[in-house]
Amino acid sequence: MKLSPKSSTSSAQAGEVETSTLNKVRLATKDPFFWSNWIVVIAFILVVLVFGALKPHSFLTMYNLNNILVASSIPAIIVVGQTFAVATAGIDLSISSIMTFGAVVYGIAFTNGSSWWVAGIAGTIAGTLCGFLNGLIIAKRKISDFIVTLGMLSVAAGFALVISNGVPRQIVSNSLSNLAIGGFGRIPYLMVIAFVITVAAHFFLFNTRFGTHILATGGDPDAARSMGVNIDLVKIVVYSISGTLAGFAAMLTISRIGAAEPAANTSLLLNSVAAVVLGGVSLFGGRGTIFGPFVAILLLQALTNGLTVVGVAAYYQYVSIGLVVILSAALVRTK
Amino acid sequence: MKKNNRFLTIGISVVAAAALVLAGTTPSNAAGKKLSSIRIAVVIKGLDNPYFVSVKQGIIDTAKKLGVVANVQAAPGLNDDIGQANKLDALAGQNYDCYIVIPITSNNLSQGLGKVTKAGKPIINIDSPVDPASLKAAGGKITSFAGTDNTAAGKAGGVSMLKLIGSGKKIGLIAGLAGNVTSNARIAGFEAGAAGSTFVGPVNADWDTTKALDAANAMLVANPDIAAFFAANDQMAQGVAKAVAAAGKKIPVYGVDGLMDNLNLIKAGSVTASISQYPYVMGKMGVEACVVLAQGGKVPAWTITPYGVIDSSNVDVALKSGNQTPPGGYKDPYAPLIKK
Amino acid sequence: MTNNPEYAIEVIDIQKSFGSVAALRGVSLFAKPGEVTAIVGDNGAGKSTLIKCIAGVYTADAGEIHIAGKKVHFTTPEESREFGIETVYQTLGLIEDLTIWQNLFLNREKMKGIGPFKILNKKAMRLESAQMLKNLDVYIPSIKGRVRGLSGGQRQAVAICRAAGWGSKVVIMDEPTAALGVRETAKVEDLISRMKEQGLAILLISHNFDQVLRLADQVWVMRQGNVMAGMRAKDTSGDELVALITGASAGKK
Repeated sequence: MKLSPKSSTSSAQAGEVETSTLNKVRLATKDPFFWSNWIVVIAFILVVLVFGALKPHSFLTMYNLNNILVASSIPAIIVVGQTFAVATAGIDLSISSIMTFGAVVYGIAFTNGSSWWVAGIAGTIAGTLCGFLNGLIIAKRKISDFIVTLGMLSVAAGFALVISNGVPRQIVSNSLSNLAIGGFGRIPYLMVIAFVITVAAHFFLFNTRFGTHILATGGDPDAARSMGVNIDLVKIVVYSISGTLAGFAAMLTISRIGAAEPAANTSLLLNSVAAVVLGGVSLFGGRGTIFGPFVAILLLQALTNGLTVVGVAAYYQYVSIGLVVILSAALVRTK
Repeated sequence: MKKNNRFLTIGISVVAAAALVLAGTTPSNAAGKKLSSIRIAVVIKGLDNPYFVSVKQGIIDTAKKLGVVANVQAAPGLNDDIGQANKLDALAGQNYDCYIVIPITSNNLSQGLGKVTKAGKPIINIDSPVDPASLKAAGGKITSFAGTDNTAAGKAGGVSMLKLIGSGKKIGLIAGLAGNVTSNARIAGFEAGAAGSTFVGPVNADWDTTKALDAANAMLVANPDIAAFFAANDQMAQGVAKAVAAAGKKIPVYGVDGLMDNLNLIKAGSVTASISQYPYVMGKMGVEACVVLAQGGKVPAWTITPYGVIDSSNVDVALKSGNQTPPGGYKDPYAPLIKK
Repeated sequence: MTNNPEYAIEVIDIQKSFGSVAALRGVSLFAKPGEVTAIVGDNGAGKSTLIKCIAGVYTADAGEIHIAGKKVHFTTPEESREFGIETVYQTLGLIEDLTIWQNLFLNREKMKGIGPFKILNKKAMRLESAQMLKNLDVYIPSIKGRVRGLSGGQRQAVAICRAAGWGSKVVIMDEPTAALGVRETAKVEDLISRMKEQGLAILLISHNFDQVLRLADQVWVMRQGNVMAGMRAKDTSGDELVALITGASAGKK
């Protein structure tokens, strides 16, 4: 029986049918995912070209490339966790607060004599615990992701203030600040770390069983459950990952600003949601890409950097960045 | 993502990244420049606070008056410490003659300032000081600081209030965020200036009008004999004034900052006084210091910017001038050093 | 009724209540391999509850389930699946944004690698998916395409292939053609016939008496939580089924 034979060139009745590269590209452009993946790359190239043309001697320099990469690395790590949450049709509103909580735990561990990396583990575990709690409540109590993580946003920020007594702690560690300043050649360590995490996340999502189950849960939780996918476990793991990455990113933030601050930095949260959408991840879940949001973060940081270099006044920067986000998202939607 | 376009994605990112690398840096300019060729980079705190908007205005007006170029950048939000560091990083490698900064925290700009110093450019730090230890660790150096003395400002408020209510009375204290350095200095200064009084609090109201209202209400219930209030900023003083009015009392309420809103309230009589800090003057001095340095001159390492008590006696003058500068004039150590 | 090893599945005196509502009041029926066994009945007759008990979604309060003459017990859909019982629900259970091969292998992914470092064996799954479709003569343009791009009939075919393709013995289908047009219905009916030829026992729930009489070998009629009658399809008629379903005829067991 033939069920609507759309394409005579690519029937798949007996195994892999080898197709030419051209044909693969042709097929790829038909995939609705294709354009949502590519808008962000095209936008990034446009931003680089425009600012490069406007300010070739200050925007297009090794020094400034380094700036953009450093500025992108911490949000790029945060956005991985957000991508996982959104891929399950959820959202993690608590990441910036969890990061603050992780930073405060880091500060307490460090000022009590832990070495920089032991404190880093402590901060990361603190993040994992917050994320695990998010996931557990979402999965077992069947409360929406939005509400639970909104609550955690407040709880984690509050605990950060409680245990720090509202006081920032200075972290003086050469090894730690070297992490923010140094690099392999011209590639900053922070970006190397972010890229390794991004590649690992891509591998996890697309090459493991659990990754498929994440996408299935986001795509259609009822169908996934009927096939025996443990969607509770998926939720718990996904939010634990998000929390862990936020706790880990706290250490990298401290390496850059030299202090464990008890105040939450909400722009990270907004950037992560914007980048996930720009990167082509559906807010309704089930459709994921890891590299899309990564490029989206590069886009957002290159844009902020470029506007600063060109000298666009601060008020207009908000407007321009917002417009780029809306415009790209609109293009992603129309495919 | 399909395999083929995934690799293309990475490929194009790499190409674009490589494009960033193509051009080289330009060398920095030597000192002794003409006014019209002087370029100043400014990174201040978030502009969602009128205080920093006033700093920005002082910078822009002064730059315009002197005929120099100022690129004023602000942190994307009040707490976006990393975002502010990114802005400084973006400007640090460029061909500016001088950098003016107000850090969000005492540490967050240190690494970027290290880069500026290594590029041989002077840094003027205004308003909130950069932590010297973290700055030193990053290899940075502040050429000149121009900021307020919050302790002295608080003290002036205390002295003024004692004149009004007399010694030995109960005074309610409303502080900002717990552990905040500025709040602590203002409160401590006030306590010193109003020595001999009995203090209730300080209660932390997180710089917030509504929280201050609630805190003052609670304090008035517990201590009906409170004779006056001191709040560590003007927004909180507004909240306190509402609580006092609601309790049917007429007692003095002091704030700090000199916000235009509060000057209007002083004129209307609901707030008694504000210790004004003149952020506009800080911005102005920052630009002047940069110009002096770019012309090859030398500047003092530390300048305390003016402060003054605004009450019913001088509020009209302050309102008329937009309260950008003190009604009684002030000493500016930088302006006379500029070569016209 | 005795438990007969020739029956692919036999349920004996199954009872299930939800609070004070008795949904199944002692249902007994069987299905033979290589046959389509239809269950008909009005809404609320207990058909859905019965298949959910067989599929492991519900656990019966009393009664027995026998697979090929052996008594079995399970409490979850996964356990039921291990005994070779697969269900194609009306909602199909397909994930639109996953590819066809990912759907066919959902939660049964083929892995490669050692110990905990196992990764998906995508190539093997694609090859085997193509084979699964081929076994039932289903042609889909590309198994790498996403389900979102398939028509209703194609989706039904994918869901049926998934149910049939796992060495299963009993496939339960709940209204498989309710949402399909005439042409696609005919194709799905062909597909069901081929599954029958391969020796599967098919439990078919359908409101369409023409379809039941066309496809089924055995028909069970349910009403108010009881089995009213069981007969060979060739010995009955649409009118008789309607009479049994509505209660106009008392039926014979």
